[in-house]
Amino acid sequence: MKRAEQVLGLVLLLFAVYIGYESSLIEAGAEFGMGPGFMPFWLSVGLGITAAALLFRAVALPASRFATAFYPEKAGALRVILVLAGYLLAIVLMKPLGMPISLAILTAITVPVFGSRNWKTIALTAVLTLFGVYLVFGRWLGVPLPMGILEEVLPIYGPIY
Amino acid sequence: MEALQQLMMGFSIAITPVNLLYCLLGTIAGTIIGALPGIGPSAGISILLPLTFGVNPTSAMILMAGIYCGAMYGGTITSVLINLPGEASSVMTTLDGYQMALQGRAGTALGMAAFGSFIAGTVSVILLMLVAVPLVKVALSFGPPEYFALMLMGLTTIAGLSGGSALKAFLVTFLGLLVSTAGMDALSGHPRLTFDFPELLDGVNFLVVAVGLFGIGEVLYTAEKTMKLEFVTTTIKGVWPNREDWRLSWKPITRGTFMGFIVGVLPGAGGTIASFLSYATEKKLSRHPERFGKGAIEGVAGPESANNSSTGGAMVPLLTLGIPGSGTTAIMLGALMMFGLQPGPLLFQKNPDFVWGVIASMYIGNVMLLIMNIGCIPLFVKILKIPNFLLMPLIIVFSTVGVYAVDNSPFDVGLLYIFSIVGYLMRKFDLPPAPLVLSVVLGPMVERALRQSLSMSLGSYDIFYTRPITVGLLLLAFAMILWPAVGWFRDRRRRGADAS
Amino acid sequence: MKSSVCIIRVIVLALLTVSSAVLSMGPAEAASFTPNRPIEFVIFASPGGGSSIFAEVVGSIMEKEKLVPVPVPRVYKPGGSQAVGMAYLHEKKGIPYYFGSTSNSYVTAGLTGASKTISHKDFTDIAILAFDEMVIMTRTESPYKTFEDLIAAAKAGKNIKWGGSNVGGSDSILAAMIGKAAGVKFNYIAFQGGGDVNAALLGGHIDVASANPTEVMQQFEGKTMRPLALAAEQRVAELKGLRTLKEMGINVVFNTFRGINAPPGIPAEAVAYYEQVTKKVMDTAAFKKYISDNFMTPKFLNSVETRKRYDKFAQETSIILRELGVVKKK
Repeated sequence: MKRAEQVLGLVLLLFAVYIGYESSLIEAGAEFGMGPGFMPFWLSVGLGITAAALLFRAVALPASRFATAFYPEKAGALRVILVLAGYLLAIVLMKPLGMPISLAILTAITVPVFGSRNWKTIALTAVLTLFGVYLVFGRWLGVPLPMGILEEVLPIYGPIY
Repeated sequence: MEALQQLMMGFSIAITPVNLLYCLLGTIAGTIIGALPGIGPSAGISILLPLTFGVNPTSAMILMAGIYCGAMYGGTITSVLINLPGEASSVMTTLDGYQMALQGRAGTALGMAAFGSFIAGTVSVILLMLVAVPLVKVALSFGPPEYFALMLMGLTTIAGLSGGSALKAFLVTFLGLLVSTAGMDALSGHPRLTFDFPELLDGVNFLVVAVGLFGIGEVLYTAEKTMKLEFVTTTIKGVWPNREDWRLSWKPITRGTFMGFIVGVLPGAGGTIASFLSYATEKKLSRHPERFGKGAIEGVAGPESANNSSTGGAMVPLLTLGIPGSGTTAIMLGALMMFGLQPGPLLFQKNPDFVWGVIASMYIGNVMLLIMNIGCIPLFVKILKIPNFLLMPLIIVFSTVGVYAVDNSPFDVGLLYIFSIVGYLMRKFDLPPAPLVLSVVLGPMVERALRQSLSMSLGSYDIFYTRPITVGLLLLAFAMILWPAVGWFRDRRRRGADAS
Repeated sequence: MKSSVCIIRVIVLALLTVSSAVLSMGPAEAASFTPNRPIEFVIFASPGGGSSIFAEVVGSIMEKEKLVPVPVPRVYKPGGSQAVGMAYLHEKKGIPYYFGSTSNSYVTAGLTGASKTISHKDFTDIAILAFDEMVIMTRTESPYKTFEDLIAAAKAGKNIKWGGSNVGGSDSILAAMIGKAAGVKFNYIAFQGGGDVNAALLGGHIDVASANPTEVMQQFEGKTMRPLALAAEQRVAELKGLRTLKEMGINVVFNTFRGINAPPGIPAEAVAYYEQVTKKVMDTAAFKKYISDNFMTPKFLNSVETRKRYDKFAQETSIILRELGVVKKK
């Protein structure tokens, strides 16, 4: 945890410096008081100071002052990565395949992560997600979901063929 | 007494079978939509508003008021049960409500929230009738400098909201304020920190941050630990708060009701500030502030009442002047115009049937909500019994569609997943998420008010100490900062005395 | 993994052939175009605003009066000062089943930094249906009884606070145009939206503001606000006594247009068909009620005239926007 907080402090400090630099590039647009760049710049200074304080504390304080466990065990990390991969896949596929399919895929990935390896359960929940999202949000509530390849097969408006 | 007569007329309009049906439909649809994890009142209203087009104005407004109140309460359900606020104003409810759920007191938390909301809603409708006209004059005297002072007061309390390290709370507050500056700066028309994404020009939607940090950030954390969240489900006793709960809660409910109404009347302030000023006040006034954040029922009762009461308050400027007092009433105002009604100071005189019908149906809606919720809470609590492998994917799917539906924006979905990673890491590092969400909401208001004030005064800072209300609020803000220090010194002295 | 990709490819190919077959049937029937699937009416803003009300009214008239044989669902794509919705519509190149709801900010988005690559020139224009006028007002307690009082005070160097929406939006353009024409400078203060502006005006925190008549008509009737001038070509019937800026010798005309556009490259027959539909919409009682409820001026401009109007507006405002410092950098 001590090491992790050091990393956190450092990353946030660098982030603050970067944002501070970006905000210093925003041109002034105000005649009176402060321009558009004023707040972002001074807020990043504030973030930088608090991040530096966090870093300093993480270096100066003895390790016993921090909680011990920070890094997840291997299996836990794998599960988190799987869910993240699911997110990424869902985002990438949302446009070509449409939202119902990409969320069905995401469901098929996350159901086993959270404890059910039964393939019937997985398949059933994925299919239910696909049609549930389409029917409840697309048809019933009229949310204009991106339908991708399903656009002609499962239309959001008008009659279902 | 004239108001009473008109209210009676309002009731006669509201209890026509058609309007009663709309009210019931609205509260039910609102509660269901609000209770879907990840879909709050704003998504709910933006989904349902276009569907109401073509209904007659009074019925449509009644339907919408029902949807609004229902969705608010639906958001409370998800806040308590799965730590997922659907609206900025329910963020405070998650702090103690979710803790209560973990301790097996989910039913009590929801019950107290329902009663608190009901009491506050009722009182605020009465206040709306009695003091709407004089109060709106006071509200109008709030210009940018007054708003700046009010928001500053809000900001100073953020860091003290969550227990734990003050340094981390400050760090998170700065981070949230920075996030809030992204987008086009309205006062100069310049884009800033948008990194060339047109989707970022309107800023980061608070909902994306809240659902990301609370809802699916928690999902990632659960994935790592793969534990069933340890709810003490065996001891869920019921929804009726016991005598001890009432003893603790009646004062917070009373204070919350009045605070919420007053803040709600101010155009632009709304339920968020009301709920979290209430939480901060209760924590400050409590003899055991250390209980807050660990399942204190006052932390649910106060903010929930304040939030509900503010909806009544927000109707004051809307109905008397045609000026929206909150984000949601702004949408309602748009809806009014959609139905061909002109909002303005004459609405009360020109369309009394409409105004009083809506007010009366808000009251009826409150009653319906109370009955419905008390009856349904045991059902809602069953959500906690859904196995993880179904509940977690469900939360992800609903959150995704809900965030998408607010602006029909695939970009927001990507942003949601990014904030879920941030939320997971914050949880790992023990960084409190509530200050981040609140500062995203408050940040733009503080900045705008500050810069508008300086524009008004041509750059002179005099404007902040020549206006009495501004001075009063600023002094209050400083008092809020100094209060913990005073307490600390007092404790120290007492401890010193004990030691000697 | 491989096989699933194959299956998807097959599905996509199959769909493409089917859809192209459907589309190729169009030209075979030659000049006449009839829509055979729902038309999405895209609104580049959130529900509740002026362009949303316009689209809801026009879309529902098309459906209810059966002016088109298909549904016209309204789809909200807000964000990026219209740029997000414009990008969405632009992607539907050549598909005649999308409308967009246009207003001033649709043109200015292409001039300011908001829409980086797309401008109003990259779409097919259908028509403009109406114009929303703008009125300038103070609160009743204000010492400025007439618009001339206000200009005189500004000339005398008084700090005249003009409130409105974001810099680059209609209010700020109008304020700058008037300032330029009258040779004065206003202290423009941006607020989040019309509601906040009205509150600040009624509270006396700002001196003057502008709005579409429908937003403030009740304030005039209730004697909480006083109209000072109209930025229109001619007076409007409901505010007979109110003079236009032109009558006062300030040569400024500024209004908001309400129009319909479509994705780039849609067939000419479709444009002609939709022009006809639009005309029929304007003849309905429901549309006339919308116009009179909102104190607007109905005026039909066809596809070609619409483009000319946009170009003229873009040319006029780009100078002002440059002076406001919000024009896109090359």
